[in-house]
Amino acid sequence: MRNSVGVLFIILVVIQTFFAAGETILFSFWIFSAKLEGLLFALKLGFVLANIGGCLIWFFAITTEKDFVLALEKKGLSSKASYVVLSTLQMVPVLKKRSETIMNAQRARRVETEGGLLVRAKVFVPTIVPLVLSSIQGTEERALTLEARGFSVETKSTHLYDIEPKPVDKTLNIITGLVFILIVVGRIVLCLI
Amino acid sequence: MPYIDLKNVTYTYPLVKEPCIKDISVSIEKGKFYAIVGANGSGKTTLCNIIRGFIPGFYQGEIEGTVELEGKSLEEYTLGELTSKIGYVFQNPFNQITGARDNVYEEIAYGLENLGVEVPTIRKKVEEVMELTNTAYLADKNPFELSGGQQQRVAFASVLALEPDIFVIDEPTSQLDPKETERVFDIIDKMKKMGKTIILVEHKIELIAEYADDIIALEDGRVVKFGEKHDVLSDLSLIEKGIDLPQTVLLADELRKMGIPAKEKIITKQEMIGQLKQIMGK
Ligand SMILES: Nc1ncnc2c1ncn2[C@@H]1O[C@H](COP(=O)(O)OP(=O)(O)O)[C@@H](O)[C@H]1O
Ligand SMILES: [Mg+2]
Repeated sequence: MRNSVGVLFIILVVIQTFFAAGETILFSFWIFSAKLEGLLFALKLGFVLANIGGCLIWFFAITTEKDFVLALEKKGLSSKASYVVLSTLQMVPVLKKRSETIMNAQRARRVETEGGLLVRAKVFVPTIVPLVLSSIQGTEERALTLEARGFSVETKSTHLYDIEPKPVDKTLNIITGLVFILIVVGRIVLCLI
Repeated sequence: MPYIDLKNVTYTYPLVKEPCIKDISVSIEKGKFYAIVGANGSGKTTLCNIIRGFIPGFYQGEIEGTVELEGKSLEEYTLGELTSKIGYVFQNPFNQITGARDNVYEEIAYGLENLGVEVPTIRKKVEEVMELTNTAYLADKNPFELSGGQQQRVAFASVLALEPDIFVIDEPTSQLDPKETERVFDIIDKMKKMGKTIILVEHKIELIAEYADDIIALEDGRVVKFGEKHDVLSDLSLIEKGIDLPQTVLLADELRKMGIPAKEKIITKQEMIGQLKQIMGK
């Protein structure tokens, strides 16, 4: 995830520099020639990309899913939607473990599970079918479990684990808002001049 | 007045022709421990779902007859009321982990959160039930990473935290080893001593003979015997109906056939020892 933004950046620069149409040739070898217009365009786009990607990566590196979903819930996300997100995240490692168990079981039954692309494609059915079926089978019971835990009760729920915005959060919110407005206004002014 | 009252209940699942609960009438008294026994497919789980109010609501299908709790039809209760009155624990430990929370402490608290209970009260209750179910040492663990027995105890704790008066428990030990089975029965026994009404489906007949008060025996959707455990478990005709009887009942029967005057209705090891001592004149 972290590296993918960098890799994307480099690919972008290379492709744009060498293959985009342009007049100003920086240098050339064999049949390729690097062009300034392409390079500049690639840098511009690349920085935008790195900016957005970096923000997202940074955000999720310092924010747990639990906090993120809880904050959304407090802003009005339904508790059902937040359950879907949280339980899915929790289920991923569980399913991964279960699929390993199934793989092992199938290997014991002499189903080839390792090898080239074709072998792996063939093993897809005997592993994915039991995985999906066993998950579906459990859903009715899990639905009853949730029912028995008051999942559909329409009382406003309380939160044992809670996050309260600190005063500094409020200040940061205001500053971010101001900076945002400044940038927008700045752009408009620059266009007008 | 009976606590829970089923009158002529017949129930058919959707898309099925035959009813799988046929004209069942039973009265459940408050504070007693009932065991439901019967062969696989005899309708035990379905009966539990009827008592819990999941049938017909959750499953749809057609139900006849009446089910009353404290003189009021189950349909007149709201979901929240039923949740805090009747707790439900069932077979598969893994499927009773909600997946909504990533540690055991919060998993147990989840039901209380949904019911909107204040946080200090939640903490108090969670800590109480963790003590009761011996799960305090698991508090910070991820519920999905526990053993089956541990998950089952967490399931009990999660339900106990809601403080229902009635517990419907469907084959809680069928996936557990003997040690964990014992722990589960320990919890059920504590619940009984707290005055809870317990309805338990269980195949381990020796444990039923020891802990339960009354027994409901099902065959093919009908109640074939209902009453005090000594009366039910000494009925040898139940064997043909796919219901296990305690070893001691069979042993006493053998003794009688051999001309040794063993009493009827010996259903526990302790009672058998007393009887043998008497026969041998000690
Ligand atoms: N969701 C369902 N839809 C249709 N038939 C069902 C359903 N659940 C159970 N049954 C049928 O109802 C009968 C009783 O099942 P169940 O109550 O699960 O028995 P037990 O718990 O005693 O093993 C069985 O014949 C079963 O096949
Ligand atoms: Mg069952």
